[in-house]
Amino acid sequence: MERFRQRFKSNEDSLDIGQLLQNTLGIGAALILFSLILVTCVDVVGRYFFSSPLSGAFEITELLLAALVFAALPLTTERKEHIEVDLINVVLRGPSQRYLSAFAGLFSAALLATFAWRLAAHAFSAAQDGAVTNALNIPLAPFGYLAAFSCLVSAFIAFTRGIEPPRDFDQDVRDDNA
Amino acid sequence: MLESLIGFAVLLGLILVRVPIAFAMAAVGGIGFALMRGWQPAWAMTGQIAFDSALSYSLSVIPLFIFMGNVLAGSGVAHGLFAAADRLFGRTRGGLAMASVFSCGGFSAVCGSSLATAATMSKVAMPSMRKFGYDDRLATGSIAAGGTLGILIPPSVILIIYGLLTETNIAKLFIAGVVPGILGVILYLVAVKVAVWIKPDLAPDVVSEREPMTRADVVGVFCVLGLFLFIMIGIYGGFFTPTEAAGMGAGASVLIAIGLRTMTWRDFLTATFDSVRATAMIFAVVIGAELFSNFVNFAGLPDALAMLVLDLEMPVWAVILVIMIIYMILGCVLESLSMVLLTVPVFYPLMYELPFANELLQDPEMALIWFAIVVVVVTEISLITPPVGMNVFVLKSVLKDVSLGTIFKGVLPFWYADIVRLTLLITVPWLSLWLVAAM
Repeated sequence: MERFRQRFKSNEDSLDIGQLLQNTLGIGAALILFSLILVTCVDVVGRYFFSSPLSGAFEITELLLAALVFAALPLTTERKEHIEVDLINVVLRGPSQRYLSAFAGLFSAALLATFAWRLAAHAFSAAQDGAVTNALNIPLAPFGYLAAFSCLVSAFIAFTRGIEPPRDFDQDVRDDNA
Repeated sequence: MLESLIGFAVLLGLILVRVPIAFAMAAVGGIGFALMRGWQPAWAMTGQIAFDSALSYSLSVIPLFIFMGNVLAGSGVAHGLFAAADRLFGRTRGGLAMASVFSCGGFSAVCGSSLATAATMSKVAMPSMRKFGYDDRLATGSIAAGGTLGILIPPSVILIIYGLLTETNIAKLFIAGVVPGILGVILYLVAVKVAVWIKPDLAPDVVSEREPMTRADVVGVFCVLGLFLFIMIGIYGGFFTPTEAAGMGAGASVLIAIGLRTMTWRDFLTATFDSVRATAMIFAVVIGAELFSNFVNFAGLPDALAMLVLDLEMPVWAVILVIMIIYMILGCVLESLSMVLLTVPVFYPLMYELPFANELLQDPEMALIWFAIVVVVVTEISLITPPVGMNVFVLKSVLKDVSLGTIFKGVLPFWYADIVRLTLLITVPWLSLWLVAAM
């Protein structure tokens, strides 16, 4: 355990995981979001002005949304933007706060890993059945694998946080748009 | 019934030790389902639900509306709204606080989130109110409360989620939010007036000096108004669906930001990244809640609840009162989205199945729409209720030097106004429904 800690600690010092994620998955998610907007606009404008709607816009929207959600999941996890209720810190101080934080991190990691496994299994069976979308025959399996991969990355992030909880607790609540 | 209650207890326990709500719901829902039905079906369900929830056409509005709100927040149109509202109310004591409330209402018309509305307006309205010597309590209270209108005045993320949970038409839910939203603005304006009447030192004497309204401000106001009308006419004129409206609105907001030339490239990227992260955050909660409500439904809680209410032969008002009390208590500890996702699946069948819905509103769909508005308003109240009032936290994070206690005190007059509004909306369902019926 101690060795693990050392390794991840040095890892965090040399490499900014947040920046790395933002530059890869973040850019990807941003591009997906722009495509999502573009698909709708092209569809609607095409329908009214050129009487040629985008065929399969419905399906493309669905697939883009799934890709967007899962590509962005590690970013949200890394920024610790999942909704938590912060009542206990009013009563607790010191080490017990760190133990709870470790528990929450490991719990999240275990759950996300389970999701990664289930999504991979789901994608695998989709690949076996040759599951495709109705209109455009786009295979579903790659999206399932993407989802599984993203959950795995998120699980890893939550795990590192679990074994190395941040020392300073920021009391700020981030704007999270809900 | 007992299983679900145990599930709820474990869930609350996990939430209290700071496990993210989404993960707590998913774990309790999945394991609860497995214990009742066996592990095999539970495993199959987990992967299926996680994937299918994200693969949803109607939910694609969520990232689109969030992006629209974030881009507009960064493009500076909010400043124009505030300046215009200041022209409207500037000649009276407490005018800037009233202008804050009014411009919050205006920004809500292009933003689907209460927290984003409060964050945006606090950056615009606080500096002016400080400059002219407004008491921090009134200044922060008016923005924290005004911001809550974000989830009532369309577009609204919470109403979209409600529509998904209950299979209610989103267009109808949106239009139902308009009148209660305007009512909210009016009652908040009255709350400001009453507050400064009781305590005149909350606001300075009438401020005659005013910042000039620039051309960008005027253009900003027209952009917001135009975009809102574009979306509403698009949906209700039958030109496009609510989903398409979100995409068109998002596209239009980018055009507005480019046209106004007030947004830097960096701000635009920040708005985009904020939007994608918020999307993942919301969908995590949606997936978790889906798993949890699957378990609760399987354990038969909604049915048991309906039976209980029928057996007790409770009058309509008593049922509603009990539900509202439950919401008020939950609202103290839970955050808005998870509260809606946890409670609506349990309560909405009551609107459908019980005779009172028919007595009260003739049509079960109307009863569901009316219930949606009531739930949203009670959720708005929870956003400004201590100890977990998310809107108050947002103001605190923008204004580091004001204490939480000060903001909670400042919110109090608006909290009373909310209780008045809730009572009105419950006793006069027509307020929420006449626009729906007129469509």
